[in-house]
Amino acid sequence: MEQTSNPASERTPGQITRGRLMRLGVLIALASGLTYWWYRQRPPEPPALPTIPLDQFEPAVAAAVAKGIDRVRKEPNSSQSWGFLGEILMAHSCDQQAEQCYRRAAELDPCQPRWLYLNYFAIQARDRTAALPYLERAVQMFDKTEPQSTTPRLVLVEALLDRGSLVEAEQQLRLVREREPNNPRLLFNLGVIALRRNNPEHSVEYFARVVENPSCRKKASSQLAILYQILNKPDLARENSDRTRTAPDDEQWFDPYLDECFSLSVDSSHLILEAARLEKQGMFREAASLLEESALRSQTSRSELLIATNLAQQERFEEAVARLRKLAAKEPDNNSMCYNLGVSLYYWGERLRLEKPKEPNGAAEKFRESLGPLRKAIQIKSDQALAYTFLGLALWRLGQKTEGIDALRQGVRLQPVDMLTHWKLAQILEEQGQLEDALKHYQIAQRYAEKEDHRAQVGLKSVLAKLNRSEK
Amino acid sequence: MTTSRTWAVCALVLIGGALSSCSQPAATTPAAIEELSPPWFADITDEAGIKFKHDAGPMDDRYFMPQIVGSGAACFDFDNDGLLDLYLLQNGGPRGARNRLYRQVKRGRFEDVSAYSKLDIAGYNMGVAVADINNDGWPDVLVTQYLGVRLFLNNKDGTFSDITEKAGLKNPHWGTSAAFLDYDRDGWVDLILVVYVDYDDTQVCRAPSGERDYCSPASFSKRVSKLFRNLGVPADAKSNFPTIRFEDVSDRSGIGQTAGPGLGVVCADFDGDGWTDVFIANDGKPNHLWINQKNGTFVEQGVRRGVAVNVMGNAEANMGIGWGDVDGDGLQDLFVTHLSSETNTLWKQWQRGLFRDDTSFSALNRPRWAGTGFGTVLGDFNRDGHLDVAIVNGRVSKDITLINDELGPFWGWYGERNQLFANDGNGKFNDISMSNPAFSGRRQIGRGLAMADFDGDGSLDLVAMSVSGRARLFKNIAPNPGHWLMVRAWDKAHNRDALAADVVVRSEAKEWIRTINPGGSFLCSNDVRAHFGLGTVDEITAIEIRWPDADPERFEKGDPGFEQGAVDRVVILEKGCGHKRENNKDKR
Repeated sequence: MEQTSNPASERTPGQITRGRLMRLGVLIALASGLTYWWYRQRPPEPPALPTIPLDQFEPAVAAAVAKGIDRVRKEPNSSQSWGFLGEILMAHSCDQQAEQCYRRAAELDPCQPRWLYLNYFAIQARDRTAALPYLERAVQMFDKTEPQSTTPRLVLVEALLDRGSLVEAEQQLRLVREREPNNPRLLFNLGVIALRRNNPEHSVEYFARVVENPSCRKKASSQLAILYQILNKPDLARENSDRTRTAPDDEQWFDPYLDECFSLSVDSSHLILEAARLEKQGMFREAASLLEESALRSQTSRSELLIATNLAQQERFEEAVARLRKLAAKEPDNNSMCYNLGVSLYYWGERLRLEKPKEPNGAAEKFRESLGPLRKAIQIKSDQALAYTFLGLALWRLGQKTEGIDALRQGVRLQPVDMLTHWKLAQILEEQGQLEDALKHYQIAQRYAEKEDHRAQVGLKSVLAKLNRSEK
Repeated sequence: MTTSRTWAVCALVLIGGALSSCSQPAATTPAAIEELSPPWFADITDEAGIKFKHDAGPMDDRYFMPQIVGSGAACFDFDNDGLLDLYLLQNGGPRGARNRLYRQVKRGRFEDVSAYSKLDIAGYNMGVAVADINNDGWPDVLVTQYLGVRLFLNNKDGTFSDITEKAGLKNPHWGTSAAFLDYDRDGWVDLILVVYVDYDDTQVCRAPSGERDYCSPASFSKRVSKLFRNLGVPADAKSNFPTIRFEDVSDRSGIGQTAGPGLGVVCADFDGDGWTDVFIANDGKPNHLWINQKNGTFVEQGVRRGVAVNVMGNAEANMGIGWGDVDGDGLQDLFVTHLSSETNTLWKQWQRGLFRDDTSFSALNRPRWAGTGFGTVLGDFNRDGHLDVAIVNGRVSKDITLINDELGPFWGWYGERNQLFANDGNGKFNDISMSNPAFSGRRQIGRGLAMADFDGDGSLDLVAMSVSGRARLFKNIAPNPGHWLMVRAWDKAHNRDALAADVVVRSEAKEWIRTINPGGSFLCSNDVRAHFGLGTVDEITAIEIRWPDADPERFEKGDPGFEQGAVDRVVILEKGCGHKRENNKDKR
């Protein structure tokens, strides 16, 4: 019997076959793979917290940040805890520390796009180029986790437009268009692209569709002004240019992730801003509670001043003036204290004058009292136009007519675009019978009046009637 | 064998699985590796004898806002000896350090002549503008201040007289940049004085984190800028120094009818009608472009001419201004610096009088590092025929991660590095800041930036001002520079430089345009002469001057001041000595 040759049997001791080599290789590869997998999956070492100068923060902010730090200390491997700390930090302008937290949060939960997305904002103010990959990755991941959310993609479009990457921006916009064809932010960006592509007609169409949107009213108007100029339609260009000037500032686009982050802001300036917004809408009591809360968080003379001026706006003059007198005594060289005390006394006098016309002494006393603080305010800050305005009005009420008009004229000289001073001066001049001069100031007041403010127009009509002239 | 394959596949699947889990982008995008090239600038401050340290006033918890706005510098030949001198401003208040005037005694060497000159005033000095206000052939000086203005008449003997009051100039507001122009073509230069905000120094501002910091302009109401008309010297004036008078025409001209927190200004013919217009950079608000109506009034057209907001329709924190033709198309473009969280913006003039934000094409939005830009100049630093960009940076609010570097514990939070960008010849820019450590390597709070050829070598040098830092003089040492030409456009009838004149230099194959205008940048006054880098072009065929108040003239080889057509020299061309050309509406 012929013996079949077995190559294995021909091996000398110590020789390794190819098959064994292969198996060994596979085992090594498996071991490496497993090691790498374990390395990726193991709970990572908790990194050091970013350096956060808690002593530099106002107490409420420091407390909020400390709470976030505690949470991270308790749950060092929680993506949510790190992300939350990042949000608190970013809400208080600590972008670079927030960046470290977001990076850690994303390491702990690599499938959560929110931290990558927020990290884009934390980085982009410092380095737009470095920030962009975070946004691109976040958008890819949002497609899987929250496909209905178009905001991150629109943010990406704007980042690409900023870089001048029109083609990529258009590709991204196409995807948004499929989901939300009437999204105003989409339409606005389509308008920008059409403008960049030298297609003014298309661009006009897009911007015209969103020009009333509160998030892009001003922006769209300015773009339309340029476009109509290009299209040789000067009247429309002028109209949109004027609208750009008079429209209120655009609100931020809705962004659920950023809005949530900034809702964590607890600093007092945030409350003060909100209070100012409410006061502008005439909601003085609602604003007062925010100002009280702000003062509780950080009691400063500024917060006290804001509470006092709010009281004056509620016509609670007695309380307001008492507070302002205390503040002015504490800081006699503070222009704001003197000015606001003077203005509050003036308005108090005005109210007494209207409520008790038969007791003129009460009102006169307040007007007289207002002169001192207003003069002091002017002494401290010689270019303060409105201090001159109220000084002029108080003097006028006290019968010092020439001095009153002089002070008002000085107010106009210092701030020639102030509607109130022109209007008040015009009223006084009209009362004095100086109709031509009054007409001039009513006209200027009307130029600077807000849309809904018809006071100057009423005055203008009255003077024109007296002059027997038509408005034209 | 099959078993082996199975094993191998298993291994690959496992490894692949491990690798395919959600990955993160790299922490930072690897930046393109910049080929370090020879530097363009060397710091020669010490060798030049300039020992100026900016006084920003006390570093205390007042956080007095004018401190952080800084001060400017002027490059001009105050004694008409042919060497440019240097005037540097202080901002330490009435009891602080005084402004310094450095006279260039020989090329590259300066001596302090401040006290003798009487320009050594203290105060919250912000901006400086230079022009000959009385047409006597000697440059006069205007300084803007926080709540003030000062006007100095050149006495022609190395001294100046303060004529502010006599001249009827008043500014009770926060003045920033200023510039001279002859807007009404009466032969006398008028003054545009930019006003910032109605600052209340008792207002306490904080960063959102609660720390004390400088206020932002949004905390205060904006102000209108001022236009003062120069009434000139009476024809029958007999004195050597007849009184010059200015009249405040802000309201009448229209410029005083729209407020804006103004910081920068440039005067030039923006719409090509031959009349000088005014561009004002507004901080955080749309810019204003005041178009001259040729009847003593202006109409604001910034929005519709495309220079008020950026491509996304947003108003940015507009500060310093550069004006020049960056892409060689014969139309001048506008560059404005902004905050580090925004991008500096380049508005290219694509049709006469119409501009569009072309920043992304220019690549100026992709610098190696972001900075809050203030002073900026467009100059052809390597003389290759294309305008480059220099910017000085410095924050306006604290960055709490920048702790205590060389600027010390108070100012350390605000320091940033300057930037330099080289034009590639097509209107695109490469960031060459890394190759220029002298100019860009040091953190400082950059504010004023001016350019001039101090040493007469045909290359533009730079002067940089910083808050509480030293003024620095950077000598241009760019390697292998091309040919050059410097043009002074002289209005013989009025005995002064023709401010806002456009100068077009032509060779067989190319042409370049520059504006005679020392204003621009931020709070500064540059060399009044127009500088041209010509690259390899060694012969010029003609120079055209578009006078701001007369028909354009063409100077050809053989004409007075331009006999040879040769390059690498300074030429002085006088109005009336060239060949007249009919002015048409589109002067191109």
